Amino acid sequence: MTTIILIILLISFISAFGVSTSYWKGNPLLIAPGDTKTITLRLQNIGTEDDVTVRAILTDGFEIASTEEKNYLVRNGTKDTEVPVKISIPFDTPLGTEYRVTVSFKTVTPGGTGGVVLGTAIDTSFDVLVAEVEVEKAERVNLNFIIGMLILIAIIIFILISAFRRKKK
Amino acid sequence: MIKKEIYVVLVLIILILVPLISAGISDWFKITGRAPSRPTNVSVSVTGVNPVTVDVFNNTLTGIVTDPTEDSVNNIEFWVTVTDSDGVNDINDSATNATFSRTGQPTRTNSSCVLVSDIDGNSANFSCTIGMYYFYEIGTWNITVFGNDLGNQTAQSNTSQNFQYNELKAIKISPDALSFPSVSPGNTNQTSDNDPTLINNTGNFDVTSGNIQVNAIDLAGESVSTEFIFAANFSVGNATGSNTECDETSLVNGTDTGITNSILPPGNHSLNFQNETSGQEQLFYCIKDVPSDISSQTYSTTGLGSWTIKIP
Repeated sequence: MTTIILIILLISFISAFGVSTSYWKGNPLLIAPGDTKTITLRLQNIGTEDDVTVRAILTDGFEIASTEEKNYLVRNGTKDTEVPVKISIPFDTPLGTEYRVTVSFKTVTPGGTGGVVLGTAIDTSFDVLVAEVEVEKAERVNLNFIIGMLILIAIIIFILISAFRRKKK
Repeated sequence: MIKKEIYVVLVLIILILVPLISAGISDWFKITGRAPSRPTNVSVSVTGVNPVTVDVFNNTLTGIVTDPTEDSVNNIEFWVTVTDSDGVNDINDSATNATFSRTGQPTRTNSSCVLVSDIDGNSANFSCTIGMYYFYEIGTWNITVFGNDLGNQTAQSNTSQNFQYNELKAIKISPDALSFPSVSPGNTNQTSDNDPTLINNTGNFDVTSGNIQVNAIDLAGESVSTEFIFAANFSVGNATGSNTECDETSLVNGTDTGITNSILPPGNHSLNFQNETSGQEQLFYCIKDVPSDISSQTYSTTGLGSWTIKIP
């Protein structure tokens, strides 16, 4: 019985959280010049007994990235607290240009009374590669198709109206 | 006269549209985009009286679904449709199974996918669930699906489909505070009396050597807040014995300082070897010099803020 109590005390972990991402160094986000995308970083707090408050700050990639600098409450037992990061690439950016975006997360930890209180922090970095993205090309083709169809319809209406008026005369 | 005008206008329409629409006919039907976010099918032919087709739907295996779960197992579910032209009753319901694999990593298996329902007279839906641990490698994992029927009974596999196992950076530290025995002004090499800080890597990110960082803040007096033990008076190491930690990395006020030789690869920390082989690291602390010009009182992080252990 004494042994069990000792183990419980020893596994009393604290100051814990995690950040997951679908993009990382070596697995870049591909984005075309002139495009804007919002990607999501996800905060986790699994296997602890307490909620944790985490502050997010953009620390690298200011020229193309933005995220709201704020505190996120990450509930105990959750892995779906979303942190959106907006990526905007200027039109004149050459293909092949690569950027590094870093968002720093840090637990909001009071200083406590007596001793040295410890918190945790995690930097999440990912690469952004400017490239021709196939899906964007498809969207542009669709746009051309719609414009073409609208012009065609307008011309047909014009012809029909003209023909009708001439016939009337 | 009107007919002539119509012909002229139609020729004009064609001339206008040709430069606007540059895609070929096939482009209107082309599906484009990142492969992992699209539904894809795997065909497995099972030799026998009639072949069986197995369709695997991995379109849901993106985003949060394929995030590792901190310090735990993520049970990843996907669906499989098995079709047999001999009729749904010829499908061997207990023979549909799947694996996730990646070079250098243990193969994960669902030895028996679960029959959900028959779709029609020839097809049935199965649900496959495979558990992925938090310390498994980041990147592309292969999906292999096996199918069989009751007639031929020769299983065949198709290994053409993949999914991306995402990156998870996560740590847990214990304890959450450091303490030191009572020291006197001018003392040297005083080690903490409640270290080490045990750090568990609860994700799958590889923290390479020297990259566990400590951000220390000067400790202010709790009674006289204008007196300090400076961060630079502390050192941190990943070993102890004979005050080894007192000769290791000196801390810098308000600065992320990498601890020499500290390392935290992903690993199964339930093995609890308390070193890198189980995804764990220990940090030991020392006050190298207690300033001789400060008064006797408690010095802590209360006034200027907590210290931080960080993985970059």
